[in-house]
Amino acid sequence: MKKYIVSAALCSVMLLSGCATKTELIDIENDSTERAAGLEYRDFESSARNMVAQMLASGNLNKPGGGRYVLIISRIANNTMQRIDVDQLSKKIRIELINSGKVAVTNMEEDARVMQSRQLRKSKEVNQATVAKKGALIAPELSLSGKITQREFIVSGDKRIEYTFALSITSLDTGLTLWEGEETIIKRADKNAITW
Amino acid sequence: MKKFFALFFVVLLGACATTPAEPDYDTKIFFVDPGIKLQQLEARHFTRENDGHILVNISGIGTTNQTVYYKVDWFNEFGMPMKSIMSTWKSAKIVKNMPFNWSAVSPSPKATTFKVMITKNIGDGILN
Repeated sequence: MKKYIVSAALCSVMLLSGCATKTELIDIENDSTERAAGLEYRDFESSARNMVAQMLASGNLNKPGGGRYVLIISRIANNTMQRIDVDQLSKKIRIELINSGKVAVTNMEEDARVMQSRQLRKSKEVNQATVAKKGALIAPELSLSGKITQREFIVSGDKRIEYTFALSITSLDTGLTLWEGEETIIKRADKNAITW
Repeated sequence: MKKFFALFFVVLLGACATTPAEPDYDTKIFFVDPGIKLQQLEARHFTRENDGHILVNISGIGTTNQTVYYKVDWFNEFGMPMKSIMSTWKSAKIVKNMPFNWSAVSPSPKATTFKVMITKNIGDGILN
């Protein structure tokens, strides 16, 4: 009897593993596969792309007299029901802006090592000529901040999910906004679709 | 004699064959899926003097209602492609007999040329 049970269990395992969907690699540059109801990489990419295109086309990031602005990434609030690493958006934008030659991004607040490395000035073990000099850090001139919001409605029996990405670039000197942009992504999904 | 007539007809029919019409757009810039018919397709562009970025306006007129994907690829002075999220497929609705306008901006002043690709199908992206 035991033999039969073991064989039946083995058969079931083999049968079920045969039904499992195999893992496939997706080419993210040519991906038209089904969309998720939640925010996914294509939403961050299209929002970042459209907003960077607006920033560059506006010409507002052209520094008078030439050169690059120094930009700091401030808070991008996540007002959605999802756990999102907002770096998924901000990283794409900063990469494009750095490559555009319009801005240099300061990492002095994000990378604790920038300030820690200054404490080496007290160390006798470190060649002081190689330690960061006083007054070498460059203060930011512009700040990138924003908000991602989510609203949900039931329309004609389906769930409509509206996501809005709103970003601003503000001059830290004057407090004036140099550029503002907003991208809306609207998805329709089954009313039972869970987005968090 | 039969062979002669057969050859004669082949030559005759061959002469009647229509040569495929040349596209009326710049084939050095545009790469369009043969299944997509667009009229007056053109890309007007200029280089902004104060920062060297190229601004492009792609325009045309639709012949049928359809959804297409388009992408603008940018190349540097050496003809090498420049990787950027600006060079990703974007979908657009085209309406019959209606003009459309798409705009694009170069990701960097290092971009000197561009190509526009328009297709109906970009595949499902699954690599085998």
